[in-house]
Amino acid sequence: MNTNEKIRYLREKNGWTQQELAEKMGLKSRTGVTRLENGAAVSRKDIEKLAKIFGVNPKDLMDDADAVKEWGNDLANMEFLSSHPEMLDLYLTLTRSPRIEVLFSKMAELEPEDVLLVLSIIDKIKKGYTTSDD
Amino acid sequence: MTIEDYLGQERIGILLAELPTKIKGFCTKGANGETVIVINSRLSDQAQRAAVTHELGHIMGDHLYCECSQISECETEAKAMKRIFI
Repeated sequence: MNTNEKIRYLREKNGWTQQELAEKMGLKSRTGVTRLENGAAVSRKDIEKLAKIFGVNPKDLMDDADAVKEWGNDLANMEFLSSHPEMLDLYLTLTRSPRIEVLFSKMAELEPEDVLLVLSIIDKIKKGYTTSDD
Repeated sequence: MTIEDYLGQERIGILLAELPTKIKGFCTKGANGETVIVINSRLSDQAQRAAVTHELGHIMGDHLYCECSQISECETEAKAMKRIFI
């Protein structure tokens, strides 16, 4: 997910219109937000401003690395996994590693529920439980 | 060389699991650094075999040691390598 998509995702998640987000950003009209969501370059200053408005870390608004993209929607995954702390730790370890930790053969983008299931299997593998009896 | 020959030689484990329908399989490292291929048990035998060969392409290319920025190159390489087993 790139920065533009993340802005749209977080705005919609908060139930705000483009006009409402524009007002929070101190813009006169929603045009600026439309541009940001439709692929315009987002300045560092805007990233910091938007991170404050959305209540997230500025890094979370930046483009995902390829490894993170492999896992689907990173923000949605982290939000879903927040109620599964052990799996969130594993997720962050796997997706923030400088090396590829897991290689998928996928047909579509993963949903957070899919990610949880995959993580639970990887967790067992990493702990050495690799037979169906375990 | 058959798939079975290569698996035995490299001590690669294969695990069948009920994965989400969107995933054919994946590979990762196990507790002792061994490579584990997880294949979706919902797939047909033929599709499972194809998924194994794809993951083997990754293993033969040492892709689990690659940097994250190289994922798309790894996918291309795995597709080319799986032809060895077909």
